[in-house]
Amino acid sequence: MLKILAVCGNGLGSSFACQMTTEAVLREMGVEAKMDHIDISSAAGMDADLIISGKNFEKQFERISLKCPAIFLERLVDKNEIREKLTPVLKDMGVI
Amino acid sequence: MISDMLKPENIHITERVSNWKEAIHLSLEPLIKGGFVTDNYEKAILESTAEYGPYYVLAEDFALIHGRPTDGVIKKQLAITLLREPIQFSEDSFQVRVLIALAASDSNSHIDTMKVLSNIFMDESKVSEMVHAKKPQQIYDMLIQMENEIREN
Repeated sequence: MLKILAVCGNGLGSSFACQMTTEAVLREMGVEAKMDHIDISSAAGMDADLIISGKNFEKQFERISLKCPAIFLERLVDKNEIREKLTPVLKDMGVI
Repeated sequence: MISDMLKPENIHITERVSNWKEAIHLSLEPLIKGGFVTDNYEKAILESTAEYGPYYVLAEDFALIHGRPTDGVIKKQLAITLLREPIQFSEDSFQVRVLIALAASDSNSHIDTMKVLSNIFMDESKVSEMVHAKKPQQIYDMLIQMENEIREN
């Protein structure tokens, strides 16, 4: 199953909130995925198919060589923005 | 359950704050006074803000102010401060009126609370309802009602 990680600085507030919003979007899209949330310092070593994080973390991610695609959000809990950015990536991956 | 993490007396309505640091301080005050976090928690959040920007501003009018469990969390707990006059945490961030201070003891055990909060921050009309609450008790009742709705579904 598709594995998606929501990432923020502490791995328990913003990323958890982002995870819940993304889960709601995925349900609406009919996409099955396993989601988790984690802090950015632990994200590098994690196995995931897709990473979702905030725009403010984009620079930090540049220092990590990611093995999977990542999307960066202006608003971590905006369902429209999440759907908009998630759709092309999921299409590229052949999920939808 | 959110009722285990939030006491009605830890919901406050304040007219205004003069800057974002005061907003952080005010939102954390019930957690510090109640012995749920140490003084260091506030310092750590200010340091994280310097590093990452206002990472806790999740949506228009909604901030989830939090640090790491190791920053000084003693027991998981919430406190809510509603500002009548919005505050901005950085030039390019949203104006915020609802400040939810969260002390989480690990990355997952507050999941019930996050479920309730997510039903609010994902829904502009719910955020608006909270922003326009006249009394703290209204905010408390709204959260409890939401938790009951989630449980029934």
